Amino acid sequence: MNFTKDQHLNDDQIICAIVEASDLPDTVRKHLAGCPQCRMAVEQFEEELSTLGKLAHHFSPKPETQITLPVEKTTQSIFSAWKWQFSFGAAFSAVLVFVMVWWAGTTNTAINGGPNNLSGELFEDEELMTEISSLSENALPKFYLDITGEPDPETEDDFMEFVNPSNEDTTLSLKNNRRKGVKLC
Amino acid sequence: MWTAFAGTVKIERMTQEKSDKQLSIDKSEVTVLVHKARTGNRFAFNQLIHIFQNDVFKMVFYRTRSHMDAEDLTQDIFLQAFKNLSKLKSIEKFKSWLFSIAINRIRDFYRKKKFRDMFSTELKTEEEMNVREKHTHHPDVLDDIYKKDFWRKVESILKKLSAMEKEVFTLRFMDNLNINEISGVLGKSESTIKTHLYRALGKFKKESSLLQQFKEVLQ
Ligand SMILES: [Zn+2]
Repeated sequence: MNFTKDQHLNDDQIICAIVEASDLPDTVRKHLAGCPQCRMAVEQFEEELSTLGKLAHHFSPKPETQITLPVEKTTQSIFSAWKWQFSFGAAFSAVLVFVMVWWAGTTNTAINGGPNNLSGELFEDEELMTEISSLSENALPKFYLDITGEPDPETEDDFMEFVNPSNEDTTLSLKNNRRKGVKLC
Repeated sequence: MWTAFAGTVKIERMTQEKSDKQLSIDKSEVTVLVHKARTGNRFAFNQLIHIFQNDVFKMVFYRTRSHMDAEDLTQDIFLQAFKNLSKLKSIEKFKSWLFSIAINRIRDFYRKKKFRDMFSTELKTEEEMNVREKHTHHPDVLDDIYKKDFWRKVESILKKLSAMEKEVFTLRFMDNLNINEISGVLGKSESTIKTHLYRALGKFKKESSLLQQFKEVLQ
């Protein structure tokens, strides 16, 4: 660029001085440094731009809302950790109860079990079978048998004898007596 | 008012060096906070919110001109940043990364808005829109008039720029990001950013008449 000492900066050069002064050619920069007129032109334009920024700032409102960040994740993680611990605790308790029940059963068998207890078990079996037999004859308890009038296997024979006394033997004896000539009253 | 602002620029230039030092400290502080936040330190992320909320909010407001939408979108942007912080490759570029999330969120907002408007038969006047906006009306009526006029003028200037020029210009002179940060936000090379900025400034400079009117309104 041809630039003489007497030549002042044009508009483009003034703009260039504002955008990036170091981009100006050396001759122009030297002139700018020594020419109050050109320096004033640059400064004046800079001032206008600076004022524009200041007025924009002045004629705009200020923020009034406080910025709120989302809920802290650590609170959530504490909660989820607590939930995880609770679940783990519940599962552990269930397993513990199961183990204890199983252990108690095993221990009981070990203490009471064995060949010595065989006769006891047989007796219990017999009792059970007796009970099953009586139930198969009549499932109702004795008290209900009285109410319902269901025949009680124990009292049935006595009752029937009372209601309808057996005379089969008497008849037979009378016939025998007549045959033998025994006098009846 | 414009003159008053211009008068303060010289003083600001004198303190520029001090500001740069402050900025470098802030950057290292930000890097430490980002590093802590990445390890799940919520307090560190809240500190980052404290540092950048205003910038992000203003950035959204410049592009939506709606207080309510700016509030909602700013909340969304920080939530997105919080969720995706582990994906940030270079913690030194947190600001660019945060602003790129904001840019994408705003684009998404406009896409949805366009879609909603296609099915909306309701036509809203400017006044109705203003009624919806909370705190739109400044207690100072004159300031409120200035405010509306200012944004109207800015809008008319920015309309002359292409989408990319507008974005680069806004990021540079309204959001106060440097070339390197803009490059990170938009995912373009620094030379591309400079080219767009150069063109944008050329168009902006030609709107001197609008700027003159604008100065008069503020005076
Ligand atoms: Zn000159």
